[in-house]
Amino acid sequence: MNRLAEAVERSLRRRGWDYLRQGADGPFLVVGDLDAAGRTEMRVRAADECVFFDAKGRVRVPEEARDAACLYLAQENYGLREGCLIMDPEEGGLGCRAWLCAGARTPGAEEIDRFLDFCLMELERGSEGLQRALYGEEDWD
Amino acid sequence: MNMLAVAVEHYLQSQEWHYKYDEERNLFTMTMGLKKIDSAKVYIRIGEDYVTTYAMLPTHVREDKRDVVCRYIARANYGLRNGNLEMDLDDGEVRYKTYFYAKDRIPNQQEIERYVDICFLTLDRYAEGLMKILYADLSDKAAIQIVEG
Repeated sequence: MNRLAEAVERSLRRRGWDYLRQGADGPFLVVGDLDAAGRTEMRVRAADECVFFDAKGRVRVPEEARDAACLYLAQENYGLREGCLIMDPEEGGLGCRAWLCAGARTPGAEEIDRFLDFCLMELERGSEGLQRALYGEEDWD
Repeated sequence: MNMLAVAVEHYLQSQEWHYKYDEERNLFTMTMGLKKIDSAKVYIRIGEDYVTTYAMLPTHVREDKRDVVCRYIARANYGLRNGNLEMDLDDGEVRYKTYFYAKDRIPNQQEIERYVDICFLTLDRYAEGLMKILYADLSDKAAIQIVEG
């Protein structure tokens, strides 16, 4: 396993999270439940001297609402630092991604934790906010 | 100037780029000559434990084009890995952002190069699509296809 993948795995173990390693060097898949984002999959991949974090929840924006969703994403993303909210243009799936470039060094647990937390918290916040922006207090379902 | 700023300045000097440094705001400013667009202002903001780089599109998006540019940005950001495009909905300013976290350490020059250079190079790449939207009335989908193939 490459050293970045090892660092990621150490972080996940330290958190006591169940994860699936989907290859010799990852990616690592963690599945959990958030309130607004619902069932969430977090993929963490170490490649090209970087670590990529990608969280996707259950939120699927229907086609007729995607223009409004793009406006919401633009508003939310402006000023975020660690990463951004994303939306699958074909299926409307809402996600959050971040990345860190480690180069020749091995990132510490705190650094990896920072990006894991950012992705999950921002996905949750974005899911809740988007729902409110599109439907008021109604649920997605 | 904190150690992060010193490291960033060392990189800028190594490239022989002209820049200004605002000590009060901990901000480096420079203008980069590009290919798809003539040039872009680049801002490198130094925090206590992070560095954020912004490359600014020289043209603000007028109000009647902001919807389609939002869709273009959403398409672009879905596929990008390193950084993201942003637009200020109040004034149509578009920028590309990269960020790195550097608590209790000094980033090496290769790391700074990666974050700073990716920022303005990616803006340049996606600027072509933005210009087509603004001046050739292309849709977001068609504009992304021009850039990403």
